[in-house]
Amino acid sequence: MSVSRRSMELFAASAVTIFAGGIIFGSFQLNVGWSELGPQSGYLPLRLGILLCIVGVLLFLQTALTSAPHTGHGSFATDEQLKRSWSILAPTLLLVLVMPWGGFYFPSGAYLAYMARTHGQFTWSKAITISFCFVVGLYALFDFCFGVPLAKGPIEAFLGIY
Amino acid sequence: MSEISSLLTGFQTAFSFYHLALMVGGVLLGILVGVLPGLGAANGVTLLLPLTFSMPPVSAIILLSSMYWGALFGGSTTSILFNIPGEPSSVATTFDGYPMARHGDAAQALATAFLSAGFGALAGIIVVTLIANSVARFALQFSPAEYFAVYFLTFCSYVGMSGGNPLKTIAPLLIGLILAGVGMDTVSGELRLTCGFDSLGSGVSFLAAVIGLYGIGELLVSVEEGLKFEGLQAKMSWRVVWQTIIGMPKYAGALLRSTAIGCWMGITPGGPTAASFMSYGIAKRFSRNAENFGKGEPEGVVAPEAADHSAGVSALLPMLALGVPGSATAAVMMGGLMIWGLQPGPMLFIEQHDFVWGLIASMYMANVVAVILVMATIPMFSAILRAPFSLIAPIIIVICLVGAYTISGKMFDVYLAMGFGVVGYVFKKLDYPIAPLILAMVLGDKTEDAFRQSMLLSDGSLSVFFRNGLVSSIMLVALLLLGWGILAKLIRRLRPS
Repeated sequence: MSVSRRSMELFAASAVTIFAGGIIFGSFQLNVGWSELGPQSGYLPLRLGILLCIVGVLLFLQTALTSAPHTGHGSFATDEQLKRSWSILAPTLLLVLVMPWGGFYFPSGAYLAYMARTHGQFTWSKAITISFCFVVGLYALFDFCFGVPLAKGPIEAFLGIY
Repeated sequence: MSEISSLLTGFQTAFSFYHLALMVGGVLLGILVGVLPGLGAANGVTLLLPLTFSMPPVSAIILLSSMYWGALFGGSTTSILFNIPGEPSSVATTFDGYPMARHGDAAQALATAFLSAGFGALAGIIVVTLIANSVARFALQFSPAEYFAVYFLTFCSYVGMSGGNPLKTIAPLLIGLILAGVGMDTVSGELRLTCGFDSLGSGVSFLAAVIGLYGIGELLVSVEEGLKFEGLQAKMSWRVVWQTIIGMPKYAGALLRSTAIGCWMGITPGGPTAASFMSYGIAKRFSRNAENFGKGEPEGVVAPEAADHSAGVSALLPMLALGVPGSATAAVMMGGLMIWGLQPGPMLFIEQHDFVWGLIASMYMANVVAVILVMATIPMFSAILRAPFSLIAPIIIVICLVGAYTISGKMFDVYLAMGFGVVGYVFKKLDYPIAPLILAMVLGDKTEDAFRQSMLLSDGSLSVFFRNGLVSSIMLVALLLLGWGILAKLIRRLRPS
């Protein structure tokens, strides 16, 4: 099983059109006309939204009306390819969700160790050592050398690192 | 000549031990991001940008531009040794570079690429040196209408020169312009299109967009392809370099032609990727060895490399003189200039003379440094790619997320980068170009300001964009390019297969 390119083209064109619809709606919450200061704040977004909406519809029609060999040929991604992308995207999404309270360092280290273990078949000890070195390097570079502090979580607080 | 004296002043500004160290550091970091898939020049410069906020602007721009040059060289290396273009503009180098390496001529292919690239870059800098002042002086005559026309021309040239589906170029352009308008309206102070999110009050960060679209999106595509690095060994020897130098005059025609194409495509915003493909195509058409193209013909390495680098270098000219970046990386650098409090455009040449000429002088030095460093360090950098991708990929992702956070210390930018990453993955797979989106995000505010001021001057009449010869001709060229993009597609469709 795979996702066909044609259906993905239609999905992308629909997403563009819906986004444009949202912009048009958002623009109407503002003033879209003319004042003594010239075009008002919603003037250009409204027109750009309408243009994008037209482009989205044309893209949709272009795919929908063209025979399959032109646009629908081939697949967007095979099952195997989607699995590969998802295997990296899912842990990354989890990492991003954990970061607001867990900070950057510990979650990044855990993420790296997990990826090295599951995708690289490293032993746990090797994976943890690599991720520890990386996190220490990250801290040295950002917090120490450049003075750009990254978000920290409870584990760093426990260790007295702020 | 005022250019020469300005350049000498620039050398005085740029030539210091600190700046030389920055060049070396920038070039090495650049080669690293160029070599690693998923981390290109635009993304590398974006990641480094927040770390330069505390530096003097001249030092910061020297570091960032050196990284750009390094990334261009790094991108070519992976094209030749691994058949994996590190940069989109290095794709054309794979066509003949990789076959050369497979035939056992890896060192010659690399030397040919670096020397052609170095020649292209130096020629590009000479062009920039010679015409920068004139372009800036010319641009001083511009009123808001002319500025709007130039921005419009920039957008239209992407549509006209992209070669792909014009609707797929127009969509990211419009999305970029809309996203640039999110946040506080500069005229009325009203909040626009924020959907009630306070974090969007300051707008959608284009840096988060670059990190997501170029970094995370590219990486997802690479992972999906099950990237395996099957690299070929290359050991550079100075004897091979010398032999390649002696052999270069044979390709003088391709070199000069490709450099000219590159300079043109860099100054008009066609960008390095389009320049390298176009040069490769033209070189193949005019070469006496046309039948060898694709099988390991050195001329097929010379042409895209010279064009890629001359376009990359020339792309900085419109950025400095007009405030119109010629490539995605130049767009990021222009964003950096604005964050440092500098306004790109002709006034920059008057108010920040030392900055502009310091940068131009540093381009000469940094490119020489880059050619030497890339030849010396290539075995080391290609060894990095022998590390498992399962380790490199998550490291790149963490660096991208950290980079997004350091833009302004907000988690919201990390979420944005992640969202843009998924959009970038879909766009890349469906052939929606990403560079126009970035360009429009950077130029959006300036375009809107120029449009509003022009409309105010004309009491709302669009005739302001055709009121004199200069603005009319820019608008006309823009409309022709836009029309050509759409017409060419129609002609291709109608032509019997």
